Amino acid sequence: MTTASAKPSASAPLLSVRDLSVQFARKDGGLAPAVRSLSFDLRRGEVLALVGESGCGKSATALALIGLLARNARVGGSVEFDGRNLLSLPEREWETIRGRRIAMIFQDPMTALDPLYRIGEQIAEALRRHLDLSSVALRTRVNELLTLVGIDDPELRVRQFPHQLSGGLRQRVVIAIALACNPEVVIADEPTTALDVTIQAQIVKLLADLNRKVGMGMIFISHDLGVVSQIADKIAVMYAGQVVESGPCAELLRDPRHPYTKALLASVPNPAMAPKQFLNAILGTVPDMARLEAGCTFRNRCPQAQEGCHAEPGLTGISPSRFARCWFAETGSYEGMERQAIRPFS
Amino acid sequence: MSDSSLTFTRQSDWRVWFAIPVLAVAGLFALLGEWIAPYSVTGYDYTAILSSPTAAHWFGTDELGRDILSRLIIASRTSVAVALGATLFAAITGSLIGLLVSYIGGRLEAAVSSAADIFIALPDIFFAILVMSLVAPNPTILTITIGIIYMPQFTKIVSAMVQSARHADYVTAARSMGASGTRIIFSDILPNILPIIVVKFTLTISSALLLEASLSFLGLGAPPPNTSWGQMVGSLKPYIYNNPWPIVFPSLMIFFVIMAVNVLGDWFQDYVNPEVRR
Repeated sequence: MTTASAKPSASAPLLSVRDLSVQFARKDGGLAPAVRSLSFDLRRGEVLALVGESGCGKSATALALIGLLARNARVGGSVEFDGRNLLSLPEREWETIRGRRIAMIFQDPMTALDPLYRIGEQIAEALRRHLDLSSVALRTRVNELLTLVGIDDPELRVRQFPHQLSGGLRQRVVIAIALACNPEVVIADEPTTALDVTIQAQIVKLLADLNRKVGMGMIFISHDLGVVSQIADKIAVMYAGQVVESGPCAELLRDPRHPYTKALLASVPNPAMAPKQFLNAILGTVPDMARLEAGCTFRNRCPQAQEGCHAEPGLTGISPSRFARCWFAETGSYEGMERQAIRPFS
Repeated sequence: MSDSSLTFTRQSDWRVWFAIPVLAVAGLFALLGEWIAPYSVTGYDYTAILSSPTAAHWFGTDELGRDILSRLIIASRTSVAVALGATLFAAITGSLIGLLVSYIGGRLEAAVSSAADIFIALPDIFFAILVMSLVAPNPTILTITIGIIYMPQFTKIVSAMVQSARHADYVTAARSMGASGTRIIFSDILPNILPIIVVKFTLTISSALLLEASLSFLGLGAPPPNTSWGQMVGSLKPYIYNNPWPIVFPSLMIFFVIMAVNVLGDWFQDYVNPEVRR
């Protein structure tokens, strides 16, 4: 766990997101919302986890933060970085930020590397793009990066092609590419989802170590609270494009206030469970974002939903650093759902 | 896991051993025809008309007593030049249009794509006959006509490939590292679709060879004194019952060259694929 961050987090935020909204224009002229009024601050050395199911707007958020949304996306709000609003940046300026100051780690290392280039070449490419290094310095830096991400025998690896590497090694290469130019912000979009569980633990540990060593701010996107608990300082739980609960990692996991967070926690597999016991699943499905009804978006799946939930709840402050979007956030009382303690397995 | 030094050792491949000599012979004929041919194209030998292979005329003679071997050698130039020229024309213009159009995207891409579909639906030979019967045929017009016929195929393939390559994760990853649009097209997308273009290129060479041969067979190819393999087959056709020997050789030439081109394209596809190249 990295709750004890290397740097004090009282400094001004590195990245400040206010009311970010992303909508996709549909063929029929309508707009499908993907992210709705998302706000958060990311400080140097801090790991913020965005947690939620598929389609809750996590990846759209990530792409908006690095300016790579599809052409049919409409973005609103502001993303303050280094005194500039990234959302209104022309493409030319984006190219000097992407990879240099904000970098991204992709989900699937099997497809995120170009199959035609050697590993060394792909890392060097990122360096060449932004830094003016001599060929000797370039080589040194490539080897240094491979060592940094825990790859033995960098001299051999730089000459290999992606298909000659295992999934875990490839993901380390993807991480090395993202870290090549010492970015201030790293966005890790489900970096462990495509990997085996044992490799997952290694990669999460690597990212946590790198975060401590390098001190960049990290946005860690995942659907897995178990993984998130090992690395995050802060967690924002997203549902239907909105943050439904946010707060410091340990506190939020110990005392979740939103029924969705509770349900997610309850569905984390636990080795202590009895054999053949079914995992807890959240009944129902995520609402269709194109046809959202008024009121709490979680109410059709919520065990504690009541008449009053037809009105939309705002983010309720529980403490200065904790918020939940639920009418019952302050008391957190509910019935009908088992609460399960979550234990990080590292 | 193989050591990367092994990556470049290629095993000998029968396809190469077959294709290279055949194409080398055809290329040599095309380049140096006049100097290699034992007789002149217009060397009439009235003592040997429609003869079978003999010591003097290895491949026999045609209806005017001209040496088949010599004519075959001389004809290589037109056949090879037209097929290669037409394919180059089709590949370069077609691919560039495809790249450009899919880079711009939107309505333009849809319009070009539909136009290409309509054009591809026309039978090759129909369009070629139409053009060649309207204009006075010469080798340049023949080349460009055949080139235009195959151009939309390259446009379609390239724009479809760019479409899928553009959404490949490694392209998004390259963009996330700050690579610009043109940089991505030329260093990530183009190299990844190049093998397909090259394979399409070789297949098109063989199609173009065959189309040129068909047009020349019908008398719509390059007019005399130009001669091509297809034209030879066409002019020898009436005598197939008198003496089938002479027509066999230009036909075999067409067959072997087309086969060699196809087989080489096939081999190349494996060669450029890093997963097969070991």
